[in-house]
Amino acid sequence: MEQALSRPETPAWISRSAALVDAFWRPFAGFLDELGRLLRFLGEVLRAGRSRHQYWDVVRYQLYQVGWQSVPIAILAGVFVGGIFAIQIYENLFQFGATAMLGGISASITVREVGPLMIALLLGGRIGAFTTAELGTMNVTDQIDAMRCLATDPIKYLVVPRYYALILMSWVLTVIGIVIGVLGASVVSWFICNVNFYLFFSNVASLVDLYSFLSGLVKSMCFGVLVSTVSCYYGFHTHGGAEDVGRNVNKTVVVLGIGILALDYVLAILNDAIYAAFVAAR
Amino acid sequence: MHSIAAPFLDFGRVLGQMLRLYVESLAYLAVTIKEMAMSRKRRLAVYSSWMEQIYWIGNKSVSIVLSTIAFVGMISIVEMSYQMNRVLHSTDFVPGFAALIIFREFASVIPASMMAGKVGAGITAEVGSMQITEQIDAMRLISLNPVKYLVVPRFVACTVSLVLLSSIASLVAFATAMAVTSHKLGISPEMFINTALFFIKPEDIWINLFKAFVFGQIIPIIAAHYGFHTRGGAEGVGLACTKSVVYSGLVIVILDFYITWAATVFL
Repeated sequence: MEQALSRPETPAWISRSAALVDAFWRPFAGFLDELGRLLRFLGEVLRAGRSRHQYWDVVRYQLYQVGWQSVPIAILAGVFVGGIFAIQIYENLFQFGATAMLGGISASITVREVGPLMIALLLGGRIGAFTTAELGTMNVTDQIDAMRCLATDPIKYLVVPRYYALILMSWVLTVIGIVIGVLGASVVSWFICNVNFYLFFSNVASLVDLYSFLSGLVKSMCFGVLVSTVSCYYGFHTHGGAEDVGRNVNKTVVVLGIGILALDYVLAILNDAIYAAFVAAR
Repeated sequence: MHSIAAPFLDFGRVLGQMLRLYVESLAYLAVTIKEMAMSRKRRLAVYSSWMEQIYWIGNKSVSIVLSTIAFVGMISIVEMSYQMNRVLHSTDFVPGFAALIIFREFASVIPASMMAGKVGAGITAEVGSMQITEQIDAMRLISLNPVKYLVVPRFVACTVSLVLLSSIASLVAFATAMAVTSHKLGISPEMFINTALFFIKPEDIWINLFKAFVFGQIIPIIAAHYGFHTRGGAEGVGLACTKSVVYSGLVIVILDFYITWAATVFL
């Protein structure tokens, strides 16, 4: 105590500049901290998922809730998003007289980028917030602790089925979204842009290859892992009461919105590098 | 027969209720403006409530809207350059195409869908928990109209802040697209701006602002509708939030399609 009192006082300029550095560093440190916790949670889930899975009925229920109930929304969104992109690409290509390429380009964009991104944002809004609210409410009412008391691993029972369901269903929904999006784009380009079906589909086969389809599927799998990790993490780390559930749901929505687009950019760069190195060279 | 027609009847009923809420809030907005013109005390009160909502809705969404739109600008450059390399065998027009699609679509749709996720869910949770704890009924009991005192400030704040945010967002996406282009394709910023200005017309910017204006009105109406129709405890609030986010996203996409179509037909 005496030592602390007798310590020479720090000069004002040092403490002020330290506060300045701290003010700039703190958001970044908080971000890194959160990222590390998310990765540790992902590792925990992977460790729990390594042993033999026994709750297949839970997986089936989650598949119904995540997948089957999102199908109408995916179809409706797919038609209109495909139509929007068809109109915009037509406006661009019309200036070059290259409207024959309309079908090829809009199908390629839908397969590579728009389909996975659309389904990921849809699942993030529909499933992410709901999962955080559900798990968070279970946590603040001590149901997760009760589960631990009954020797049931809550990660194995609650989280791993959601991972299975989200990954599988993001694939299924992405394929549905891509097919419906291309069909919607073809209908829109027929009725609005005067590009008939034959012209629309004439260039699809030459511009869409297996590689872009597979890269779209890998992308949607990464988005499925991201959505389930973020929503389950914030649900599991809800403490306090009902307001904290609301705050964590809000956090989930924000982190998913930024995270999906940031991950998409990183994956697009990686995809370009891999394409340039392995596919285009051959 | 009944089971087949049920979803359509439900859809019509919900749409009617939302339209009614929209007309009601426009009418109460007019009433509020009239009251503001009549008395100074009222003007200050309403002004401070609007400003408070603009802070919670607009300022609190700046970070999410700008960081998402920054990534969207970069993604659109990467994707466009891939497509143009394959089709036109040159990347000279990538800035023009990317700027066009950023200004026409992304600058209004991406901020609107992020606001629907953050602000719309927040409004639904707020109004819905007031509904299940019977605070809305209590407001009616002391003759305070819930639409006038809960929906109208959020309606004004969401519209104003979405228009402002989308105009900032278009510039941010333009800047990040410019940075990625000069790094990836070696097109200098001057060249980028020249090519982009060759493609963008003033109408594109007006349409973008109009879209943001429309989406900013839709988000609080849908959110408040699902908030007012919340039933049954905390799970009911969670379900209402999910519904509000999903349906406002869908309505944004559908209306965006029709506005884009109308723009191509009339301009």
